[in-house]
Amino acid sequence: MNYTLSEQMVVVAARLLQDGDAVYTGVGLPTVAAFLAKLTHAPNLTIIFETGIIRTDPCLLPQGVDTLPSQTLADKLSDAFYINTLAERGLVNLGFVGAGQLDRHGNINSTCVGDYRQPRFRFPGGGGACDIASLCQNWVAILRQKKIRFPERVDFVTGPGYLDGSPGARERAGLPPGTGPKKVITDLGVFGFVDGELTLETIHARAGVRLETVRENVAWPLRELPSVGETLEPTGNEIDLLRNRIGYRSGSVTESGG
Amino acid sequence: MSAAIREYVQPGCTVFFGGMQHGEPSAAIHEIVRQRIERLTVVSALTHTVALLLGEGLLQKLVVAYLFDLYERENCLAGRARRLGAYPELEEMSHYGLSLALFAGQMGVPFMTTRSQLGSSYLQHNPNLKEIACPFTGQKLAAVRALNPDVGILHTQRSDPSGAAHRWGSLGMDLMGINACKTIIITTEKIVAPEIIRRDPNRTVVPSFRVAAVVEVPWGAYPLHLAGCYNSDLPAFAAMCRVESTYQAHVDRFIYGVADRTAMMQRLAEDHGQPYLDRLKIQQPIESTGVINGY
Repeated sequence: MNYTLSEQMVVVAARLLQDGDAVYTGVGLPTVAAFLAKLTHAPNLTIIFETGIIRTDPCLLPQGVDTLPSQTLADKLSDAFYINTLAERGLVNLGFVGAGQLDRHGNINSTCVGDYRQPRFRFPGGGGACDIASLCQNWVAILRQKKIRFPERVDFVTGPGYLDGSPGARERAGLPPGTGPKKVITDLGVFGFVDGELTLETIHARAGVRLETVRENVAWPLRELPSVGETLEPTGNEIDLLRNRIGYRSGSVTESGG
Repeated sequence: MSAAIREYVQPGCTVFFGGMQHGEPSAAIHEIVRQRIERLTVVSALTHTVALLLGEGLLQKLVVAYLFDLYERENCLAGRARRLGAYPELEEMSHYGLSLALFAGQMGVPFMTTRSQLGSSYLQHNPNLKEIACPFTGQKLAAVRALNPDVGILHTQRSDPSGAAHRWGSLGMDLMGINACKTIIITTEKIVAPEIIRRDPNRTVVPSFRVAAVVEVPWGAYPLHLAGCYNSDLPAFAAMCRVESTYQAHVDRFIYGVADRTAMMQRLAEDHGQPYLDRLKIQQPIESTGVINGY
């Protein structure tokens, strides 16, 4: 079957969601993934957008987080404060975030590269990504993989991952116990975390991705599971829903949220 | 609008704009640009037309979590600010952090706390974030210092002449933001009779004694969407204002070249035809069941 790497990313993300989850999502692929999960195995999913929208019905695919379609017939319209109190209380199972960069220990950077006051490169800023990364019970980062986007250590921690990777680093920093990044989904593969270190689990081999390419596109010697698997391909039904029901076209939404 | 902005938005002051990716007070922002009010500190979340203040070199400082226009690879406004020698100082925190700073400001207390942002680099670079210990448990917390902007501007669907206004839809940081401000300007799609506001007082943003000025301005949030009123035209904003080749002509024609929002909308209709604007209006309105009050 023909499918794009973006569609593969969306499908992997959707499958991480469980029925009954409350997911705090950024714009773009995360929203598409949440809608897909809702239409397949997670009909009781609650989707939370940071401007205050809480909804259990999918809507026309929003071009931003907040649009009239994403507000209309929401379960609740609240505000940014309320949304984040849900997360801080531990009532949000999962967060989906995009990122400019992600490092060896899952810290994300959507702020700048280089010195903060004289940056070599400036991103738009983290928005709510830090809140998702700090407070959701677990979170998943979704971003395209290039070596420059996967430095060993980010210059600015916009959203805390496992910090320096030492055991209990998040808890020592004061973050809610047991929280942290769970998966990272790129256009090349799927990663988890072992001992606070990014660890390759599967590659999108069926879409032609090679292990060497995944290794070449991080800036440090990549940790891998003893046997790196192949990412399960999208099913015909998933692709049909994505294209014809949700109206997703690769490249039609921004690739990262947060 | 012109008088309200001239009176309450002074050069060098701190301004909060409501409308977190929904119904921002863009007509007021255009008026600030038109009057060339300089050295502003702007506190805002996910507003788009604030970027015009950046592009026009009117900002001294931005207190934000995100501004797309800081991303110079895909837009021209930060670069324009640099060339004007007016790239603003940045004070960044997360969106929750910003909402807490404003909430503390609303309460009149010095700070609020959260665990968000602990372990992040925000605490090293923003002097208004500090790690503290909980006085009861010793647990680490991030203290977010209160913000009390001089003036706050919120666009609303309807208001009575005294400034008791209804706003609905997603509320972003509107409530804590506007309540944190010393002076409040309400802009509104429509001035209505007080009775209409008082029939549904749960929806009223602030009591009128908090409001310094009320301005009626239809399409006052364009190119943003506003619940119950119109959809967004953001792709057009991105195409005209975030691109160097079209930017100057656009601001000359639609900001400096008009007296007010009404004239701007007339120009848009002249340039693109009335159907261009009509297509943004709500095609399938959904009306809620009325709320019953009375005794």
